[in-house]
Amino acid sequence: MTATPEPITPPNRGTGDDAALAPLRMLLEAAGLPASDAEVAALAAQYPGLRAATDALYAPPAVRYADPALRFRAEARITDWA
Amino acid sequence: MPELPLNPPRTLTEAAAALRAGTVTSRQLTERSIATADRADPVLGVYLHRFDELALAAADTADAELATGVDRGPLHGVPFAVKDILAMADGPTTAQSVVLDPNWGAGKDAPVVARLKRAGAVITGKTSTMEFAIGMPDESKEFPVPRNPWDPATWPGGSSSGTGAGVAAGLFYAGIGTDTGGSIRIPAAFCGITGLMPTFGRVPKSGCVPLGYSLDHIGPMARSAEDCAAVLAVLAGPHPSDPDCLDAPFAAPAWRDDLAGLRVGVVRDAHFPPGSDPALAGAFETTVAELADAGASLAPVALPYQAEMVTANLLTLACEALAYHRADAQHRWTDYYPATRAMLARGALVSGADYVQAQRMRRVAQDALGRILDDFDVLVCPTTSVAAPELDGFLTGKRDLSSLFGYIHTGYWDSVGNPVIALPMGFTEAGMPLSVQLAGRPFDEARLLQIGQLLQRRTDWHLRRPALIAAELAA
Repeated sequence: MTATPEPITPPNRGTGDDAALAPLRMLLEAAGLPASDAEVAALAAQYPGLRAATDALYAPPAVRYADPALRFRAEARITDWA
Repeated sequence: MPELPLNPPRTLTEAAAALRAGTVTSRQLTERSIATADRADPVLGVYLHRFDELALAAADTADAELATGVDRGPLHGVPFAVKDILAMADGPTTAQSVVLDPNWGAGKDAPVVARLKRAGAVITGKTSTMEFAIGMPDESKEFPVPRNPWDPATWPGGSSSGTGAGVAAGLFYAGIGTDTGGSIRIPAAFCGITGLMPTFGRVPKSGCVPLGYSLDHIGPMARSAEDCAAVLAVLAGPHPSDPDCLDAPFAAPAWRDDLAGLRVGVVRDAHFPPGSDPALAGAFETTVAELADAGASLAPVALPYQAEMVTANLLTLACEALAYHRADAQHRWTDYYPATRAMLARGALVSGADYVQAQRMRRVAQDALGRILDDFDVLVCPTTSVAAPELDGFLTGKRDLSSLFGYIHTGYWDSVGNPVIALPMGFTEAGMPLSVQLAGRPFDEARLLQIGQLLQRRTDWHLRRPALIAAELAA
């Protein structure tokens, strides 16, 4: 039996950690993703655009009362594919 | 190089006809494919696994069957390849990653692979991709970097990179790609071949390593629209393992001699941004004129919720991919390529409500697009605004996927799920392929294929060969 490895400990945050990165670190740590300082910094640079684009999904009036394109079937079963 | 008769088949359709006319054998075609791979693949990085012996055995079986009147259809005896994110009993599946459990899918055929085998396709190997169909070209791990046969210094596109490069280079006549944000159509565009993303729910996606559960499409990549029709006829149809896949029969359509009565919406908005290739507009307008000359009526149209659907594509993909990968990512983060890690991390930066909102927005866009397609039979737009980019920038980390945002026009269609065919439409001044997309109503692939086939009877872009390969074939 193979033991499940321990999650990787996030790398040292270094001295460049600042308030702008803290929320992103928290979200990544909540998901258990051990992103490096450089990766967090790169995500931080992209995050404002990602957030703005995501917020824009709430803006069109037509979406206010729309149902999502999700699927759920009460009778569903899992069938193997081979 | 094994001998073939004069004027060897250029397309799957021609190969199928030649096999039935007795002017070539499946063994000859397969030996030729293997010899071409021996010479070209060290440069192009098309294959992750080759099945030379199995392919030759399948070819011999096909020859024997065809000789005795057993005809499994147009794929019978034709060299074919499968992207290495689909399970195939004959070899491992890696998804071009060291992370994927080597036992995943072991000894099993994905439903579409089983259908290809039943149709007599000679599967020559499994083709390269980007890690889990997410990442970008990267040479930091053990896998080959796929290269474009039109210029090996450039990227063949992704993520169905090896299938696109292999068809263009003549390593096989057709192959399977998958498309979540453009992964059939981008390599089809950059490699100068034809790629069809079927309607979501047309082809079962079980047995394929998932990227975005609500976005993944499996479809054909080949030289021509007629080839894609033959492949789709084999792939399509429901399977009990895929609840998204509908019982919607597909048969290769009757071909048309004109486009009289066809209503085409021409999409230009946001498809010609600054920095587009200088040859793009001319090639696109020539293609549009060709449609008009064939009898279609044209009118300009704008895609509804274009920016929102691009966002919904990226957000949905990132969230669905993170759900699949989270356990591995927590423990084996650095075993993933950097570009894969960046995409997975984006999935952690949005909320559950954001994910649901993206699905609400997709429903609104589907409805708005459906209303436009009440007035038009198909919409036409460029697949990309640029030709294949240089690989160096990606390999050195100076460039990432975001540098192509705004120049690639595929993700919209994954978000709404309509079928789209990408067709070659000319070349840049540097001789690199350009591509046009035709999008249609859900489950109306037949009309896209008919138009594509007619365009390809009036042009020969899809039959052009990279100089590198043309020289090889002439040798």
